Amino acid sequence: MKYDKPKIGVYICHCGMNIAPKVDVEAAVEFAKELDHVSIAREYKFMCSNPGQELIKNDIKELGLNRVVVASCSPRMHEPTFRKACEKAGINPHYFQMANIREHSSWVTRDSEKATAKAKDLVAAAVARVAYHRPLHSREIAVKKSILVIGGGIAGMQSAISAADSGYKVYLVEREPSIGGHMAKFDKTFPTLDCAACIMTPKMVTVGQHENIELLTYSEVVSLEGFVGNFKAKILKKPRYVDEDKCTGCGVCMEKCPTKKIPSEFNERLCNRTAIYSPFPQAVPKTPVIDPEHCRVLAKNKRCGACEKFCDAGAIDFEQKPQYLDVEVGAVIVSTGFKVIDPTPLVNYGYGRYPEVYTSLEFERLNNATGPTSGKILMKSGKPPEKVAIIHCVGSRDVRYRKYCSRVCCMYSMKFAHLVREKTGAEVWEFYIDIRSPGKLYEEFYSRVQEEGVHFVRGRVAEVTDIPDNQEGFGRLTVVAENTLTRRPKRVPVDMVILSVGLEPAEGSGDVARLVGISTDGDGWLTELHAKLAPVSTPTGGIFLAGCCQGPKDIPDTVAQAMAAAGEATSLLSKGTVSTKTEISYIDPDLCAGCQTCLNVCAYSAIKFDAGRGVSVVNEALCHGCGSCSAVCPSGAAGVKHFTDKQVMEEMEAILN
Amino acid sequence: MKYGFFPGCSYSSAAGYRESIDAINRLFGIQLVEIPDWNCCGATALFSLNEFKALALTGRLFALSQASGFREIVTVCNACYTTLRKANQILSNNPEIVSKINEDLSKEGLSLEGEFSVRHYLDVLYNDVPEETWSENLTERLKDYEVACYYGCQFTRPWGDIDHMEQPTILDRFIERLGFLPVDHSARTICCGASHAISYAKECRLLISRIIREVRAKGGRVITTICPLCQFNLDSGQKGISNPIPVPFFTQLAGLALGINASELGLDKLLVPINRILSRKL
Repeated sequence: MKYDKPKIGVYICHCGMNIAPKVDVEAAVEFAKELDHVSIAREYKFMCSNPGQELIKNDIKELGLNRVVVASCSPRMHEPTFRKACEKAGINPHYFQMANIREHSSWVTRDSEKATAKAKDLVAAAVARVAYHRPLHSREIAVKKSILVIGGGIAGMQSAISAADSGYKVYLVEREPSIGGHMAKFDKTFPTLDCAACIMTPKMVTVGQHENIELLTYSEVVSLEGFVGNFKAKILKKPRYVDEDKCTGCGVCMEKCPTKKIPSEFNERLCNRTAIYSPFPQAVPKTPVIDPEHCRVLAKNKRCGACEKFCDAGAIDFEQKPQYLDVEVGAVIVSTGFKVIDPTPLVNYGYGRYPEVYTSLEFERLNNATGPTSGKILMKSGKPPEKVAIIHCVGSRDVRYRKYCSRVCCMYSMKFAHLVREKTGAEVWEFYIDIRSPGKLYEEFYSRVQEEGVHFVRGRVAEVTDIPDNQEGFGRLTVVAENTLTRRPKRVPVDMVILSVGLEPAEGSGDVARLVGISTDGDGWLTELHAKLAPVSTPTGGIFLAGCCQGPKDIPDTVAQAMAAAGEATSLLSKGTVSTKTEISYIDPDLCAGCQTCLNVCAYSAIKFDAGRGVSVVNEALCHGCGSCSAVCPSGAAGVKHFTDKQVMEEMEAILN
Repeated sequence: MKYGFFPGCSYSSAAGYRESIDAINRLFGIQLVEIPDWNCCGATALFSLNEFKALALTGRLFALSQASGFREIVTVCNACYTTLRKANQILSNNPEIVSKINEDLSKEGLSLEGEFSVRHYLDVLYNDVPEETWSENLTERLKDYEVACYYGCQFTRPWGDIDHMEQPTILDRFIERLGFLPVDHSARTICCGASHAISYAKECRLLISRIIREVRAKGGRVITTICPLCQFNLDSGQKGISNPIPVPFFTQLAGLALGINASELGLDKLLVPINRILSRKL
């Protein structure tokens, strides 16, 4: 087929009712027919459908079209669809151009005439541009058959297990001394009330023992370079001061450590730990770490070494230094999780002021068999509460803090209510805005808790105060709210208040996002490629998301997403190769003066200087086609394929005429 | 230190407020220059009935202040403070309302333009009078006075800029600077009933007694307020209560700390007499 003279086909999509009634599609078709080089112009209800694509393919074959323009939606979703159709019909996929007359015209223009005029302009621009398109070809590059998972909560663990089971080498990096994440802190899980440890511990053991998983706890990823299929990660292994190979996990060191009064992070600071510690009894690995800030030897340079003296295995090593590990992986799964909202700024709930006000995570520990009270629900006085209030939506659904619904709080609040009723028989008052229980067996759980005699009051709590209203309130806390169903103020004296705090992205998740080259949304959650159709992928090839780092979700959703992320990562790598991008920059060696300005602006380190020839050269595998080099090149040697000056100028000319 | 001053309806009428404010001003040379021909601020009531009229009323105050050369207006009442601030915020964001108000004001030869700031007298005493000036002038040792600070509703809410909206501490810090012992309590910003104390006396008695009980439970022997209506409600609302707690204005306590004679501070006008405590200590 000869390409010297363009023969263009133009297809204008109705997109059901999204484009058609606003844009006069017929008029646009008539307009397109008159444009230079246009052989045929058609309209169709859904161009992206199979018959729509067949239309293009047939015209290419029968009319000998060598260029195609589709005027429809944003290219984000369907440019690949139409390019593939062109390719199947035998022309280079880059002989295609898309005009976005939906997001850029019909959806955003009130006036039908104006919308039609704009649609015509956009079609004219696409036609003018496509005439100057050049065929582009990509290359296949071999991939590394290994995966890096960042974050070892239930999401990261599940991703690692799923990927490792299918034969891939997995590096699982966790910054804490043990894997397990938040789920390890829970005692029961809603709505089935399975024991979290019973379902979690086997997974932790699997991760620890899997032949394909290299577990790197107390470690952090410090840099990631490369591109889909070929990443190089640098991992910092923080010194544990305990030799993992020698330690048997017997725990004598922790018994002997004299520094015992350090608030335990794992127990939400409700009880203390020692300077050498393992966060919880089922920790994986069992090897403890020495906290260098509190250890007498490491922090104060004192002579102590109790742990060293009593360690039969000789595993204590105060001389350990940070280690850096370089690994090569084909894909990365980010599963950095969440943290709970700190309710301190919501002063009217009295957190930090009144000792019997707890966050939900604190209550999880209070209720946990391995927690500070061995699972007994007790107040600081040591007595069980007789009346407990649970306040929903603390920090969530609040324009002053977090606008969104954190999705899990209603359900865990009801789990708490059930556990309080079961363990103490105390009266429970739940203060809610709306009950959100959409999930398998969730609504049933809500009914069950209601039947158990839990009081539900619809109303956001105004304040928790220690000012008693009457004799019953003396020495207690009073929860003040409006019951919006009875339209009466409600003041309930209670012994204990649990704040159902919402979720926020984990500390440092923004840093991880920057490190791997993905973006975060306004609330700090990591952004997926497509909210519905690509929920575990990201715009950066080879980087996937699992669990709460992408947004609040419960354990079933987290596990499903973790498996999905592993599936996506392994399906990417199982083919063995990835195609290079085509829309990347090139540097014309005949024009390049060797000034190297482009080297400094390239964010992907994709340009190297070839000293022999005295010119800069683009590494096609690394280049993302951002165009920075092209913008700064003083000699005009650097350009971006598919975005040449000629193509862009023709497009603009057509719009401006 | 010279400020435009909006006395509002309670500066003169509140018991002992005027006397103590004037006494402090004399001592520190603070000049509160009364805005000439000032009118009612409309309080909270007018805003809920007719916002434009309320803005015209307050707009006139700003225009008068501007005419006498003051861009900073000091008030001694929480209601004036929040009303003027609210008006100021609305006016500075709505030039069309301002031009409508200016049409009316032009009949008086007045006009309203530019920025204003509205400040509470507590803000002036705490932030503008340097800490050293206070420490140099304090004469009394008052460490044994457990004072509960009561802020009322309109000083920090909805603003939250001068201090924390729900848990303010500026008055506690001020009282501490004077040498008193502030007590921690939970009634700092809870409702005293405001003007409803007159129309719903029974209900408001409950609100007032809640504040009094809380202060007593936390060991406060004096309650100090920064708002004339709070002061009136808390002072008058203790009728019939045994061992009532005196409720002096913050300016009266400041006067005492500065060694000003109790009679000059209008302390004898308090309904719950403070003499018993005073005579023991001074």
